[in-house]
Amino acid sequence: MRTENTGNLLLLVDNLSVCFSSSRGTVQALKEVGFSLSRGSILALLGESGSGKSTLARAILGLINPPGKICSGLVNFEGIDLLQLSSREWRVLRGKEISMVFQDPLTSFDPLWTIGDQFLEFIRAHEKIPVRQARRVAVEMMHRARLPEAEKLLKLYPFQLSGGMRQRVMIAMAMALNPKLLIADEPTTALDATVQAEIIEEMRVLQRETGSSIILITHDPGVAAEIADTVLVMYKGRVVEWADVWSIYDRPAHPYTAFLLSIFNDNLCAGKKEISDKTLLLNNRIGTGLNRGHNKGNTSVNLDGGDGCVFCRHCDSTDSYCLHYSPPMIEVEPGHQVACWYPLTGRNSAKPVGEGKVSVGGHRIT
Amino acid sequence: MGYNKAVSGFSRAQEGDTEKKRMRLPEKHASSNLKIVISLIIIGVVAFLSIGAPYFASADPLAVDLHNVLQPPGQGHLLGTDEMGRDVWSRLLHGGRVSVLVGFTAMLVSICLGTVYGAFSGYAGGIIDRLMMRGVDVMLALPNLFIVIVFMAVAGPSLFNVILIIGFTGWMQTARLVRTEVLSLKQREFVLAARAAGTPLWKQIVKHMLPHFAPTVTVMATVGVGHAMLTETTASFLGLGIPPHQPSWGNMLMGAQSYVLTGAWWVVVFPGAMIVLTVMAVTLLGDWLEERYLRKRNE
Repeated sequence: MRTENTGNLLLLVDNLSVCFSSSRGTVQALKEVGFSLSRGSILALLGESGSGKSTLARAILGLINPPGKICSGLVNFEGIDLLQLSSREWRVLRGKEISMVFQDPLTSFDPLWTIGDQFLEFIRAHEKIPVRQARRVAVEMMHRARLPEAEKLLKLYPFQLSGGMRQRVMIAMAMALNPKLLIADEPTTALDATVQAEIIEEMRVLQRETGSSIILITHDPGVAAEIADTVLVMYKGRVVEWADVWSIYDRPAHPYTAFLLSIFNDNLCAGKKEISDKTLLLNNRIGTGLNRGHNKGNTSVNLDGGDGCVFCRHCDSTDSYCLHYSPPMIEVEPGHQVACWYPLTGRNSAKPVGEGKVSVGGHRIT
Repeated sequence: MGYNKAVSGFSRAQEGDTEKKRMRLPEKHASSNLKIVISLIIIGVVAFLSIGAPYFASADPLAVDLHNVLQPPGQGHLLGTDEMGRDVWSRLLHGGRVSVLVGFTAMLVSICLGTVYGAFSGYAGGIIDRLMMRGVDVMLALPNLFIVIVFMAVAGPSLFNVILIIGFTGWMQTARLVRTEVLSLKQREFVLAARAAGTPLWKQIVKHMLPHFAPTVTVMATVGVGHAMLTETTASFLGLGIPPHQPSWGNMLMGAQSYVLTGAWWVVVFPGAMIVLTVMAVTLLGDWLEERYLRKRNE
């Protein structure tokens, strides 16, 4: 299966589209998403609800259920084309090479089995080792995730643990087999702020120890800033900006990224009274403008797809060009890509990514 | 019949029905406890007598005695004799054995079949699921009794055939039910998590789905026992079930039908009462389980 030596590159996603067909038409949940991830690095997928973050994660793991399907694109993991795998090959890969942590640790454990049952099942699904040895592995992993009295915890049922503990177990489980890639789908959203920070810390420590790569899905720019090396901002199923964490927070190039960060900064800086006013204002703006979309109904994804920039209806610098032509990814500075006709950093130095290949509507980008 | 009621109450595909069912859940009261005690006693007694039939029977249930046909109860025959002079009490006990055996095994056959079929259909989803469910619709559209009669006429009456055909005509409701359960369980996060962890398919179903829909299937199974017993009785009554010489409650009724009007009430009343009581008890138990389960689910 392995076609080439990929060097430092772990994961390459290119031109990936996921469609959901219904009787009322086809929704493109992901549109031509592309990015790459090198070994041992942490990528944050940043975006609001419905921007396609979780769909992207599931697409990478081959977990898109009908009626959804991957309609085009390429997912390459260590030279293996993941989209061509048989279900048997998937079973070997999932959990061992790529593992996943889900948002809500209560619902992602089966309530009818003990933590230990599920932990050992997970280990033994991939390693042919006796129960006793598997238990040792589990206990050790749980210790590393700073869970006290791991032996005792293994005998408990999921509901008997607190949310933070459950998520630690989840992470310990996901990291138990030293996966090369860990996908964490909003691992801290269901937890309160203090636990959130601890969990993030835990993940970072484990990541350093094991050298895994992490794709962290979040809607919180703070979490992303804390842990990520690179950040991928998504909006309505498209990648709008992709850069290392410093450039993106320092010089956001896409108006949407700038908007997202401004909400975040306002929330951080403003006093209590002001926060409530401002959040209300912003919520209104998000609620009526960003999240729902003016054009059709109130789905955050266009049912018809349509041409033009995904953000054009909420952008200050929209012109007719934006309405009709979808912007390609351009590089505004080395390693900083944005899908915008008028990036905030200016497009003087901008050049299209993948020179010569990108042309939109017959217009060659210059 | 209770069988169909249980199905409409449970099937989540029929949302409206479930809602209505929830609305008119009866209040818990003492009589429901009494009901369950009575039905458990009846089931216990029937099971006890059936298992111990050889010990309780006073005569050979197959022994024909043409000198003593249609003797009334008493005088050496506890419940009298039938048209061929066979001891009704002994036949009743041995007939109970057959009825209970058919009830349970046929139910097991249909529950297993339905669970496997439904789980597969629900998990596969898409076009396979749709085709499999149309298959169920076709099976449901054919009258059960008709299939039983045709099959038994072709295959000939025997205990094994009866169990087989009742099992193979009663699995559709279970399949539908299990399918809807699997459809919804498939979307649950822990199943997705198990999938993402590389858990084999059979383990996802057996370990992470089956225990979750087991209560529903248990209710189906309980009601299914009564249904299977009734079908066996019907088939035997028509002479297409258990071979005539072997005692079964349905057989006894078939033999008795010509003699009711001659005043030989005992050849009809005893097997008839046993059928009614047993099926009623099993159905009550099923209803009670269903009610309990629904209440728990709503909480």
